[in-house]
Amino acid sequence: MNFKRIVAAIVCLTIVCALFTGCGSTAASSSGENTVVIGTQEMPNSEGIAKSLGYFEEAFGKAGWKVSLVSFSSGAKVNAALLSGDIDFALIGTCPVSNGLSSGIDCKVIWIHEILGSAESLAVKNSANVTSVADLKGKKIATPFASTAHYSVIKALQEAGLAETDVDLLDMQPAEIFAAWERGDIDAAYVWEPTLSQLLGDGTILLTSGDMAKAGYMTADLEVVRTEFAEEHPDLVQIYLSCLDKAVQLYKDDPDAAQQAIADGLEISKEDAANQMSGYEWLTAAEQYDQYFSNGELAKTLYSTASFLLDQGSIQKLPEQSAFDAAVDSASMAKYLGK
Amino acid sequence: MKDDKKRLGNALTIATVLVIFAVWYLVTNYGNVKQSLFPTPQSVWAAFISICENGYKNYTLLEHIGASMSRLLSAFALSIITAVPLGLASGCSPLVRGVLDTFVEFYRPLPPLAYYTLLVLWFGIGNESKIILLYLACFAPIYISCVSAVMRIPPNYLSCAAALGANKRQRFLHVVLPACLPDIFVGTKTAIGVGYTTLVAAEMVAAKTGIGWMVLDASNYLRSDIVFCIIIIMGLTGILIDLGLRLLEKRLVPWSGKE
Repeated sequence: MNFKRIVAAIVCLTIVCALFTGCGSTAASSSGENTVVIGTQEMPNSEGIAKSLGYFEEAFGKAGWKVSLVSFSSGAKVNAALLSGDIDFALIGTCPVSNGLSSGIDCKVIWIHEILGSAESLAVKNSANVTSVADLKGKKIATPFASTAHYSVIKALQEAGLAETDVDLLDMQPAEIFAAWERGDIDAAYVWEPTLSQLLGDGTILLTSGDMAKAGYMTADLEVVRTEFAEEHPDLVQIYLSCLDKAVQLYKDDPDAAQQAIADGLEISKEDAANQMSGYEWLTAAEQYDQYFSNGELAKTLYSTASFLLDQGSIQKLPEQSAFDAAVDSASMAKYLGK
Repeated sequence: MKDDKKRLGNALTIATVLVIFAVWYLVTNYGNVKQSLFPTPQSVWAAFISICENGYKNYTLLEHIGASMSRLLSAFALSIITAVPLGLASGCSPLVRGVLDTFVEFYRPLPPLAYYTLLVLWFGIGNESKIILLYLACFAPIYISCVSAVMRIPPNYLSCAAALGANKRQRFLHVVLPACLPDIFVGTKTAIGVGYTTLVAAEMVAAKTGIGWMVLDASNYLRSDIVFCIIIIMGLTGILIDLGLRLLEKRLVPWSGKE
């Protein structure tokens, strides 16, 4: 009786110890020791190409760093991880970036992945009988809140003279939007690729972010880096920029290969990839620097987006324009371009 | 002697709350803590006042609480109406138990978020899928406590009743039901607690009202002060609901805990 108990106790203890050592070793290998954590979203943009073709692993690997990619469904989710310091680089839209900067996230904007064109749009279901934005009165529109799409749809409604309360605006993530669309639960959705294309099987585009940009409401997907990390490892920021610039160059020089990379990465057809990628405005490092970084244009956009958030009651106070100027890291890009 | 201990217990509760509050105040006001990570008590209070005055995103605080409570209480009522009869029937009849038990035991440990997306697919993004999720969360604890309550009835209660000439229906109404009521109440208290914890999950998809949704929306914008405020409100309302159930139990089941 005693012997059996002793054996049982030893077995239990061994199992428990084995579990804990298992925990310990994975924890050590994934945190701290030379691993850079990149918070990402699944999109057909420069980051998508870089991920699919392994640019990050290659470039960071040469500098002796491992890469850990963590995927999120939208920018608001990435912000939380950035605030907690769990990720070093993050792919976030202009809206959540402004939000973060106004809420005390200490980060620097280092890259514009793309200016949003038709790849983020307002799609309406064929059965909804809507031909203009004003027709959306009383209809159900789904969009992920606190995102660039959310910003665009509210601005679009305002331009058409509708208030947010004139429509039924629902907060849903892209995957849920697709499911609700299929069920016929919603009439319209403002969302981005690749989900957008899935909706168009049974709908049409009413309005694109490109149209909104022309109306003065530019939205873009940006890359930010935690300030603390950037100050400790400026070389890694340079490596990151080189990976993304390489991806944009690939799209410009060899679109075929770039489209295939996205098709593989997102598991969609090459034609779909090509279509979706053409819905963005792609800028090389040199072009971005001239058009948005060096002249303060990006900082101005972030400031006006933050003003919008203040009106919405989403942030409590609006930082000065200078805070946004400081957050846009033109120096790193200039260094990359050898200026 | 017992009263003294009770008074000491109450005093310790109050003291613990005060200590926690003091630590919270000191750490956030004098420590190097970011406001969006850990808000100060003053900012949480200010958020509360602001929500009371201006509402949150086009609905007042009462409308949000009302929306959540109506979902939770409808689900709760539905689960009581179905789980109690089914649970008692399962307890009494091995046939019924054979059919229902495996199903309940299977879905009970499943995390609600795992099957919530399926519910949204089948029942849509309106209130129905939310109430069904809450219903499923509340059903299992009540069902299980009913079954075990019936199984635990001392067999001599039933044999005595039968010996005194009670038929099946009378045995059920006058022996089984009263003997099970205390356990049914325990089951309902557990159920409302479980339902409450599932509330945030239920309001994750396509909600515009509800305190669970408020927490999620505020966290999207890094408004930790609002998140704290709502969590405190959730805690307080949870305690109130539990107190209510306890009072109800005292009135309806005074024999609980006594032989």
